Formats: sequence, structure tokens, C-alpha cells
Amino acid sequence: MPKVQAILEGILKKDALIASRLLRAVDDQDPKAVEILEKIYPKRKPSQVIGLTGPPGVGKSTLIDALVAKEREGGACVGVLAIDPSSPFTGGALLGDRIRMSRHASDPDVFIRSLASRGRMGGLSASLQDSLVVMQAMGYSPIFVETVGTGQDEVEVLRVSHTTLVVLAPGLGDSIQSLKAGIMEIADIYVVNKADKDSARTLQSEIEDLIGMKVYTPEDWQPRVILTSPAYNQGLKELQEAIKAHWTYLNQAGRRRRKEEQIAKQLVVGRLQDGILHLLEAKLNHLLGGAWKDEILNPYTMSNKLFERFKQQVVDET
Amino acid sequence: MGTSPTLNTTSLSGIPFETFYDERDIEGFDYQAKLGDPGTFPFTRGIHGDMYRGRLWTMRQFAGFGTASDTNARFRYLLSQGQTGLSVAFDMPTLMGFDSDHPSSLGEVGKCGVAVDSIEDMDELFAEIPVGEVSTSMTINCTAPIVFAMYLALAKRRGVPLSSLKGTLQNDMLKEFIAQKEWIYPIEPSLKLTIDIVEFCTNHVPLWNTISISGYHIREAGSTAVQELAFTLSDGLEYVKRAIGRGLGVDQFAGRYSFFFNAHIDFFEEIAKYRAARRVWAREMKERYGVKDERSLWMRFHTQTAGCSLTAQQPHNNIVRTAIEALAAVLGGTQSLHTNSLDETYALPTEFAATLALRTQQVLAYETGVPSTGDPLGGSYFIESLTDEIEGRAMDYIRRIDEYGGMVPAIEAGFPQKEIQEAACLYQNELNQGKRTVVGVNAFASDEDESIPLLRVGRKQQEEQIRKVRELRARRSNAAAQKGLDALKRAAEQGENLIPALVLAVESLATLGEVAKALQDVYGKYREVSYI
Amino acid sequence: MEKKVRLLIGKVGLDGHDRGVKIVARALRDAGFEVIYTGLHQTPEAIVNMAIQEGVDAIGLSILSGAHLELFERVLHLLKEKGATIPVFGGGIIPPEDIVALKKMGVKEAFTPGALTDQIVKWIEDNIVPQSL
Repeated sequence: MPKVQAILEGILKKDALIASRLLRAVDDQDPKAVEILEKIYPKRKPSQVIGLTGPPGVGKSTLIDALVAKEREGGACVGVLAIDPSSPFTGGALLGDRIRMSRHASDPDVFIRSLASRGRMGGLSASLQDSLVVMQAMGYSPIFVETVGTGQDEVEVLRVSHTTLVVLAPGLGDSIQSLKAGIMEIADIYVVNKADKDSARTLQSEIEDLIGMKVYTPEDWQPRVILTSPAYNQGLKELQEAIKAHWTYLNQAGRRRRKEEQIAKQLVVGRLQDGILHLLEAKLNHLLGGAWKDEILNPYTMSNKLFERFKQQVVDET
Repeated sequence: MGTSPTLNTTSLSGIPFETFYDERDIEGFDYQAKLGDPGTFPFTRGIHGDMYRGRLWTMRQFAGFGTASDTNARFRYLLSQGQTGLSVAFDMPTLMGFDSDHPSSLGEVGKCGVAVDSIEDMDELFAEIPVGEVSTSMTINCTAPIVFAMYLALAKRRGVPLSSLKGTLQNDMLKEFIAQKEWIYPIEPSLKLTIDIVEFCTNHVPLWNTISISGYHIREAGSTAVQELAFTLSDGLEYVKRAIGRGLGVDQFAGRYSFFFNAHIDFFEEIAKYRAARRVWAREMKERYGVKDERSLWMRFHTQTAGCSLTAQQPHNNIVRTAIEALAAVLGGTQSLHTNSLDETYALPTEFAATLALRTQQVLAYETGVPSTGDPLGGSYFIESLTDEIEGRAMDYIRRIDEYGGMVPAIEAGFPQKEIQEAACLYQNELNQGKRTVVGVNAFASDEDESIPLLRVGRKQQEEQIRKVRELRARRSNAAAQKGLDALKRAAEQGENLIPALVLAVESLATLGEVAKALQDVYGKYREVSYI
Repeated sequence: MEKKVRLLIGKVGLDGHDRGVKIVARALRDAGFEVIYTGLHQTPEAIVNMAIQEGVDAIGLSILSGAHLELFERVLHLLKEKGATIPVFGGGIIPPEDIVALKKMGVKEAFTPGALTDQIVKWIEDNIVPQSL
């Protein structure tokens, strides 16, 4: 077992073996990993985290693959975190995002890590933010995050990324109206992928109408709509430029600092939630186990009672 | 492992079997509309009136391993043993467009077929074999235009007129994208090359079967019999559409499209599949494309017994499986047949195993009496009912693919790929749960070692092949080869039919890998769309 | 937190037969493992790079073209070169004497056509342990 210092140095030197072992410990919620995360957090390089979300089948992996290729042309070392769902029943997961990123498979300067959601909702994985910290400390920039891609409730990605891309494609679903409530409100950049298909322009104008309904001040970032078609190498340069423009925007007037404060807060909240829940789960189960014996089976009465007891014991005391 | 194995009461496609069938199962049966005599529309009973009495099926054993001279020796042996046509298996680098010395060819050279890097290897492969007389089938797809160009160049070298060349190219890229997954270029340029071959042969090599539209690999990838039939027919319809789009008249080329099916272990379902295949193809060709020439309605097909039905456990059982599958193919009216060898779950067949497989066909042909009567099962309540059922289910799939706008959009949407994947997993689960029985695997297993002798393709042959291609590059005029490749690229950029430029390129001693790369520079690379 | 076994399952070499490997990948997921599937036509270099980046506990490779000796040898060599100690197993059309040779080389197990997925799951449960820091 390597010492903490050795792991720390390995991360900063971009040692893939050490990094992947740390990422593994992070994913397995090994307490030792936190000790290291705490030490590497201040060493992070300023790298842009780009989150991609959107319904299944719109081509998110293929788009990331193409964007990675573009970044590689410019010599950047790129990180990718791709999340797929874990089975709620067996805990197993089939992580297949790499198939579409196959051309980077033997490139050590493209670090791709597949993450299983492991019970986390909202399209992310419990270890995502910690994994981002590791990749940022290693100096990968930019880092792409691909969400599970189940549909409209995947807004969490907004809270962990600098730049949020909502990827859509023509012909998937009748209209964007159904998506409006959720992911249609979070994008810095809308991507109409598979733009070689006929109805791409229609989708584009629908999105533009939606953006047009909102009022933006000159201070605000005005969301953009970009048409892409990785198969025909179309729109990728424009998309790359839009992503960079958003980064430039963030780097002005202290915006990035504010954004990163939000991201850090999210990490704190996430860790506390996980930690407290974990702590309480056993306790609650214990309370609950005792309760069933002498309480009438009314979940409302019981939860009220238990909550009061819990509040007294845990919250009010602290 | 169950002690009393399950009997199948549904077909491999999931069609339930009744305990018996009678006239109620074929109510309103119209002989002329459904069957017709052998040799008459809709050809359910066979494409020839006299069936095998007029012409026995071609016994065509797929062979190839090691270097060109190794395979040449096996070819000449097979011809001397009574085989009536050649069928070339190429190794993976040749199939995928790599020269033998490319890093990606590591360990693959000469392994599951013969290595062909240049026209010189092609010449060696057919040494002392008269290419103007023998019929040669080549299992090759994304590099089919290149290898075919080598064969044409070889004929030219030997002064054999192209119009006398007989044979078949598999040249079926759609099933590659669906099932077999050997590809280089994206779908559109891949199909352009397919149709280049069709067009060139229509004009210059009239006896050549331009595409062998293949269900075999679809089945091996895990499909059901119904899916095999439906996806293959949809592929065929797409190739017809595209050749017409090239400006060819349907009756000019359709008679040179042939088919290639699997013969799996579900005996009656397979026979019904072949019968339904002929009927659907004849009807669709007539209705969709207004075919005039009867030959354009004929579904001529090659059959291979199912590799995926063979087991590594108790390998001698494979002889029995293959014989039963071969019988199904013959009862189904195949035009040509490959029988697998017992050792193919371990390695390429030994000479002994390959001969035994050929003998299986010879027993079937000359001892059993089976070939004397056309469609001997025609009129059976069971077979006719099953044929109708398979046809109905296949037509449902064909209509769904039509709704996608044809096979290409369906492939892009992943439709056939997903359907096959689901069927494969379902079958595996049935095996795991003992709902289906495979003798020696999940029933009647034994711990006894049943070892069999195997063919070895040594590293020596690989090294020899690598040496040869390097020596060729050192010896030839690189300027001439480069000129050939440049001309090919220009022709590709201008959208010309590439066969003439390909022939010139291989004549200039450009290697297969160089030619494939030149085209990739123009066309780009296909990216896998995978469903798991 | 319970540790999960993570596996890289893939196709190395040129053959495109992915029926078996996909069935295995699915069965392993259903058995509760995290399975990273590589897709087709991977080089040994890519397999090793992916396995390291993904922090897997074992690599399972499918080869049906007969190139198993050379390809497994290369994968093992590259792993060693990178200092990675990840067990490797495989499946495909592999003659018995080659299975002996592969095991001698360091391949942990090789499955042939006809192997049931349950057998593969059981082998992993018995032989592969999740790594830790």
C-alpha cells in the first residue's frame, strides 16, 4: 500500500496507475481516500468542467469523442467521466460509453473513466465530484462529464460543471415541450446533434423560441444553439469555440470564483448528506425496529413521533 | 444440470409446436398461389423443375489457412476428392484491409484463412488451378473490391477472358454492419463499392455472382430463423434498389444476386425457412420491381451448417449435428452446401475432419435417395403451416424495416442489431435455465477427455508471409505503386466506378493494405455503433 | 461501503464476433459486477491503457480468430511493462493445448464455446477480489 505522500506525488505526476487506484477508492467510499482528496484539493489546476446531459440516443458519447479529438489536435490533455446506471436490484452495471470513444482508447493523454451511478439519482454518480477533483489535480483540462441520459430530470450536472451542454437530436420525441420543465432551463449551450437529419432546423428554431422568451441582461450569458454532426465533422469547431467563449465569460468579473464556490458548496452538501444519512440509517432502522412492536401501524403517526425523537436526540443537542 | 432434459415445444424462433397438424392448420390452402410446382412461381418448392436430378447441389467446402501455397495444396486436394467448386477463406488482416506486417495483424496472419497481401499471393493461391474453368467463391466483404481486382488481374495475366470467370463474391456489407462487424469505411461508401462490383460484373463478368446476400452471419450472431430470413431479404431488396439507382435494369443484374443461409439444428423450422425465403423473394421482386426475367425471381442460395450449433464438449457429436443440418438444407432445396467439420470449435479443420465433412454430403447425395424428389416435404400439414408462419413473422419485420426507410436507416437506428442481441441473450438464458438442451453441455455432460487432433498454423507461416510482403515492397517499383494508388484516390474522389482503377493499382504491385488505406484516406472510417 | 468487482470485458484483435462477449458482459452485470465493455477491434495497447484508467480488478478478453497466443502474450507483456498487476482471463476458439500454454504464460482461465455464463460468473466470484488503496 503506497503512502499518502506517494499517492499525492503520483497524482500530481499524472501517474495513471496511482490515479486509477485512488479513483477506485473514491468510488468505493474508502475513508482513506478522503484524506488524500483533502490534500490534493488545493493542488487542482484551473480546468473547465463541461457537463453534457440530454435524452438517450442523442449521441452524447459520440459528441464527446469528437470534441476530445478536437482538443487533442490542440495538444490538450483531456479527461472524461462517463456515467451509466447501476441496477437497483443487483448493483451491477454495464458501462459502454467507451465503445463510442474507441479511437482514444490507446491515448494516455485522454483519461476516460466510466462511473456507475451506484444509487445516485439525477444522472450523476455519488463519486463524481471527488473524481473530478482527482482529474483536476492531475491537470486534465478540459474535463467532460457525460450524465446517465435518462431524460428531463437530469439537472444535477449544472451544479458540478462550469459549462452545461444540453444535447438534443431531431426525431427523438415529438417536441421539446415535454423537456421544457427540466433540462431546457439549465443549458449554457444547446446542441442540436445529428444535424444532418431533416428536422434539425425545426428543432433549432424551437429552442431559439424558448430562449427568446427569457429576458437576459447584458451581464448574462446568452445561451447559444449549435448544430453538430460528428459523422460529417460539422459544427464541431463552432461548438468548441462556444465552449471556450463560455469559459472566457466565466473568467471575467469574478464569475468563475462564484461558480466554483457553488460547486464547492455542492460538494460539502453532498458529502454531509451522504455522511449523515449513512450515520443515521442504522440509528433510524433501530428506532423503527423498536417502534413497530408497540405502535399502531400508521406511518404518519409513527414518522411524526420518530422525527420528534430524532430531532431531540441529534439536532437540538448539537 | 438436470437429469431429465427438456424436449423443445417451441422452435428456436419461438414458434410453438402443436402435438400434430391436420387440414385445419392449412385451411383454404391454394396450391398454385402458395407453392406451384418446382420451377414455377412462387418457387416455394424450388427454382428448378427437375431439382437435383438436373443438377446436384455444389459441394463447396470453405477452406483457407496459412500462406497461399498451403491453401493451394488444400484446394487441389479437395478438387481431387470430388469437390466441385472452390471457396476461399481469407485471414482477418486480409478481410480487414491490413498487410501481414501491420501491427494490427499480430497473431492473425494465416489463422482463420489464407493471407493475401498482393496479386502475387493471389497467383500462388491459384497455381495450377484453371481460373477460367473452376468456380470460385470468395468470402470477403469490405476488401472485396480489392481482392476481386486481384482475381481479375490474375485472369488478365493468364490470358483468361473476364467473360469466362465463374464464381461468387460475398460482397455483402449490410450484414457486416448488422452482424459480422468487419468493416472499414462508413456505410455509404461501403455500399458504393458493393454496387461498383455489381455494375462492373454486369458489363464485363456476366457469369459472376456479384453479391451473396448473407443470413448466415446474422444467424451466427444470435438471431432467430425468422430474423435471419427477414434481415437478409431486406438487405437484398436494398441492394436491388441501389443497383437500379445506378442505372442498371433489374433484369440485367438481379439474376446474379445469390443468397447464403445458415442451416441450424431446429430441423423443420430450417426447411420451412428456405421455402418461405424463395416465396417471399419471388413475390417481392415481382411486386416491388416489376421483374420480367424469371431468373430475377429465383432465390438461389448457398447453405452452411451452423457453426454456432457446434460444441467444444464431446466434439464427435458435431458430426451428427452437421449431418442433420445438411439434410435440412437439402430438403429445403439449397444450390450449394458447406458442411462444418467436427473440430471447428477448437481450430480450423484438419484434412481428416474436412474430408469427413465432405463425405457427409456425399452420403447424403448418393446413398440416401433424398435428392431424387423435389421438395419431398411439400404438402405436409406441419411444414406448410410452419412455412406460412415464418413468412408472416418475417414480413412483419420487413415492413418495420420499410417503415424506417430501408435497411440503412434501420441499421443507423440500431434496429436489427438490437433485435439480434435480444434473441441471443434470450437463447443463452434458456440454456442456463435448462429450458433448452444441448447434449454434452447442459445435459449428458461427461468428464471424460475426448481429445481430437487439431490443425496448427505455426508462427513460421506468419513469419514467412511477413517476409514475403516486405520483400515485395523492396523489390517492386515504389513509384509505380504510388502512381497506381494516387490514380485510385482521384477516381474515388470523382465518384467513378473504382474497379478499373483497383485493377491497375494491384497490377502496379500496391499491396492490399496500401490500397485499403488509400480508400480510407478518401472515405474515412466507420465507427462502431454497439448495443449491449 | 461494499466494494464492487470491476471488470474490463472486450474484444482484442480483428475478428468481429461479439455475440459471446456481449452475452458474457450482460451476465456479469446481472451478477452484480461493474462491467466496462470496450467494443470491437481493440489493440493490446488500448486494452491495457483502458484497464489501467478504469481501475479494474480483471480483464476478460474474447478472441475467435485463433490469434489468442500472440495477443494474450502481448497484453500480459504490456501490463508488466506498465507495472500493473491485473489478472487476465479469456474465451474463444482455443484448443486445449493452447489453454495449457496460456495458463503457463499467466492467463488465469480460458473458456471455450459452450461454456455457460453461470460458470464464468462463478469463476470470477471465486477468483477475483476487488482492489483497494
